[in-house]
Amino acid sequence: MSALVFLVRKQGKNFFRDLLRHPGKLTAYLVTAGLFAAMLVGVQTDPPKASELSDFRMLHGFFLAWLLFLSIPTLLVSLKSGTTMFRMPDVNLLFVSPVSPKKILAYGLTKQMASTLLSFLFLLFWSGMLMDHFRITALGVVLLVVASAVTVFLVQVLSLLVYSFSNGNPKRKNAVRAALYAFLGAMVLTALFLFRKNGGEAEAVWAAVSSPYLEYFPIVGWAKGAAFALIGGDLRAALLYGALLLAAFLLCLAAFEKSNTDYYEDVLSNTETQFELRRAAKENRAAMHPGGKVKTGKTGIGRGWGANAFFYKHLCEARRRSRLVFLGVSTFVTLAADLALAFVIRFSSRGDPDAPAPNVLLLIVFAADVYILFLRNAAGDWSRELGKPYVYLVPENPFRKLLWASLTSVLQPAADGAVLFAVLCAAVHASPLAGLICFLGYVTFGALFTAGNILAQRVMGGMGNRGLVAFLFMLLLALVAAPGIGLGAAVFFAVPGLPEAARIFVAGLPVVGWNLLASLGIVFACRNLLSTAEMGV
Amino acid sequence: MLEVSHLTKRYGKLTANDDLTFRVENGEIAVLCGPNGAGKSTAIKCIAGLLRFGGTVLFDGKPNKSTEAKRSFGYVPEIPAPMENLTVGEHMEFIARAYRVEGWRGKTDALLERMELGDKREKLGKELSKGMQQKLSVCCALLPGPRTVLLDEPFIGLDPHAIKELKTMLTELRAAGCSVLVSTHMLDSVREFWDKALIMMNGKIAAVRTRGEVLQSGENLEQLFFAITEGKGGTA
Repeated sequence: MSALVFLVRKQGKNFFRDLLRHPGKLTAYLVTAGLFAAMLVGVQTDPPKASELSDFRMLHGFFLAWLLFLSIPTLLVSLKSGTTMFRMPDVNLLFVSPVSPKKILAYGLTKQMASTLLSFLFLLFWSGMLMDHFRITALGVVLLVVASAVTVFLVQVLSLLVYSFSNGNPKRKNAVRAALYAFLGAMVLTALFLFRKNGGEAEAVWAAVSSPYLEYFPIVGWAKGAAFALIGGDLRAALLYGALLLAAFLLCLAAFEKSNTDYYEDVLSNTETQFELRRAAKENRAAMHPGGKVKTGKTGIGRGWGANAFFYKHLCEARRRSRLVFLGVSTFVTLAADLALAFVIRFSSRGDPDAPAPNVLLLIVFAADVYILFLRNAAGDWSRELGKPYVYLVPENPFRKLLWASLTSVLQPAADGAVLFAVLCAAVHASPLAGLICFLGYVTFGALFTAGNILAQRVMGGMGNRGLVAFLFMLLLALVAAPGIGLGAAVFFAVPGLPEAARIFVAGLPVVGWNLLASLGIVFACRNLLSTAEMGV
Repeated sequence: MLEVSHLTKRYGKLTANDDLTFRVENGEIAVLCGPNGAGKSTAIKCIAGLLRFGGTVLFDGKPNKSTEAKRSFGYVPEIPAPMENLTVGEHMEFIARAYRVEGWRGKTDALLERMELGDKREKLGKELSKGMQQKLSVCCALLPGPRTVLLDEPFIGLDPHAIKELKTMLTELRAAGCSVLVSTHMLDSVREFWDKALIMMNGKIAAVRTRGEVLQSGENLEQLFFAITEGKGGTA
């Protein structure tokens, strides 16, 4: 064990030494801590009025949904590729050493718990909002963060067990998958039953999701129950749920150890994949995602000569990623999230005289979609192309290469937007005119974000949607988009006599026009990017 | 012909390449060798136009970032980077279309056969092993028929057959009058066919020797390399 203790001690010590040697990094940590402290002090000195508070039961519902979101996908993915709590150096140096595998597992679990807790610290930034809306203390927020970390940790241990149990056995895999869906189904059915039992109104939704019955479900329910019991001062319930979580952990560990002491193989593949992804991210190059089996289907690019070969290559790749070319799982996940958001807004404001009209509701969902689009844009064809040498090497005019290689990154939001706003428009009964301007706005924001990524490559030599610069990059893009939005707002107030939908449409036109102009301006200004840029190497 | 003059590459305070000047003549195979961290890969990437640098790099008299120069050279990267959702055949088709290679189908067939990838045409980039990715990189670089070929550690990950075939290809390129620059720290792999050795140390060219000069001195490439890198030999 002394070797492992030595390893942990040295790694911790070196981490702090490294921090002292990199003042920039240290400043970033200190500024982050300072921002968090300022936020807490701000909320404490200016407590919210009772009328501004949201229903506390909403927090129960959101937190349970959050825990499910953290757990179920992890478990489903682990069925395919396993999970890991080790890094490549652990595999290369520890797995082959004469240290007992059980001790190595304990070391991996300890490290994993620490890193899970650290990775969830970002949630503390939501504390101001939570404290403002739900009258929850700073300690309450910390409890929610700890409960999230404990859930993820337990789910990872369970994933390890699940993979070890089902690896190479399709029947077992299907059984585990069915059990997971049954678990989720049972939770949904319980919530629906409670919703109906409580009268089926808006009030019933919050009564259902905050019901203690949902806290009886293992791990997610228990973690949520423990956190809220502590927040509510119910120490006995908290201890009970805490004991259940501990028992679940010990049970998983015992089952894992009994079923398979040679766990190295179970974690190896995932550790290698994670290592490759981290290395690629560090070297700012595109990583090879192993992913699932892809059907090759029709082969051949078929068209293109010179710079436009990039565009047809991207079409071929898009066709291979999804049969619907530009539409994929992410389109339908976004659509489902949009519909859920519209439903929650409409449901929670039922009977309220200030409830948003359908066109306004569509605009709210549009704003959320534009934010998601910003996050997704970094994973577009253009950004991926920059990680490969060909876009720099091909002997064509750099501006033509830039245009053709970024075209699908602009067409993708157009296809997504057509589906999203057509369905949303019909679902919330908004005017087609409002739907059309949202679509145009979405497409031009897509163009603006792609242009922003080109600009980031030109200015910073990397993608702006990564790491610490993401926030600054978002601010910069907001500044670029501001004139259009300002002009749109001015037009909106200048034409009060028009019907609502026409008013939204007319006000949206300057936004669309400005986005287009700004995008073209940026792309033109960066026309020589590919002859001056450095590849992410 | 490749002409590198005063190539300097800095990363902040670190000078990765310091004032490199050398030429690779037509029909010549030059090896850029040196210990780990000597700056070989950075130099090759600068020459290929993937990094910004000071100085000039000319391919047949044309600056390396010009369209004309790009048309005349091929580059095999140290880390192969195939497109994960494109098949082997589609990689070749893409290169052919992007580089406007006439009659590419026949050339593709020949290259894939030589690299034993003929039966892997329908395999996706992400399904290839490291070695197969490397072979595909070589095929992509050679398809446009370059006059100069830059290879960064090309033998790593290749099986013995592919190593033998690649060596043959390089000597054929030399015979056809092409300039070839190979970066490597595996001296054994280039022993039979090198014409000029560019030995790098700490970002600088520490020595330039032709095969004739080395033979005349009674040394071999390995002895020269150790003499220079261990500080016992002369300089350029």
